Amino acid sequence: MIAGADSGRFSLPLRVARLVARIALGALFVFSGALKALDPGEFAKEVQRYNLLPWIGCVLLALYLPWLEILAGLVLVLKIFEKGALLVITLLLVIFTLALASAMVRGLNIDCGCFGKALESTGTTLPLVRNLLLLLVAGLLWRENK
Amino acid sequence: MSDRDHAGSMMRPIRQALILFLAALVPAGLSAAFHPRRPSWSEETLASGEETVSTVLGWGQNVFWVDARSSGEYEADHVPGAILLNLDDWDQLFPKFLDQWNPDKKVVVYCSAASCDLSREVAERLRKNDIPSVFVLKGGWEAWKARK
Repeated sequence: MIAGADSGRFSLPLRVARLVARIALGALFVFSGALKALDPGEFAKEVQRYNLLPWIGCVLLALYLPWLEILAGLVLVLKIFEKGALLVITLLLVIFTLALASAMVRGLNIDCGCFGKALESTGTTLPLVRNLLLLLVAGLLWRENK
Repeated sequence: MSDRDHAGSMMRPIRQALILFLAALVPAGLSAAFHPRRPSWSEETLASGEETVSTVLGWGQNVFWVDARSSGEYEADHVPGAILLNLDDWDQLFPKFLDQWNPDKKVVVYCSAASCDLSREVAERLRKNDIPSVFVLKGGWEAWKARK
């Protein structure tokens, strides 16, 4: 694709909206990844509370996931691997949403763990709604990216 | 757009994503080796009848908390909804426990810290009194406070 080819296709307000959405989504992932990367030990316990993975899986995820979030968020903001980053972020959002929904269905009274321990998250309902909104944003970025 | 172009445009995000997945392995590996707060590979072992704070929190409202510490410590602060039940005043406190106890709930007993044995003793005594599903909170009050 020629650089800037998609910018010619959209009106200015749409381009600005797209720019803001891309940077906001990327920055959010960098932020949430960084908070989790600060304390993988605590994050592993947060993951464990979902009762979805054996402990070793929680450990591996706690070590790996924060950096994937940071990396994907960063390249989305910097527009380096835009589509690849969007793919990773969409995939993660789908997984997070499913995990939250399953916690809700099973009646688990847990914190989301979305931002590690630094931000006290309130249960699973709010994060679930937020994730669905973020998925919508990611979906819009996909559409316009075509 | 030809089929080949289309396939190419589909492949590119996947290829880029794979590179991101692989690249994240590097800092993840470094974290595993050097992060001061890296998780331990082996899960903390639990004694029989013992549960971690995270497990108990996962039970939600289905928990009946029992504070096995002294009444002074209980009055200073306790888990919300917990009732006092220690061995010193067992004869006065156990009837109160029976009044408030809900058989549908899991009884979780705690004392001050991992080193204390009171919660185990109280849990044992409750089991002897035919109270089903009694658990001891691993790490006790300290673990609960650290959790908040």
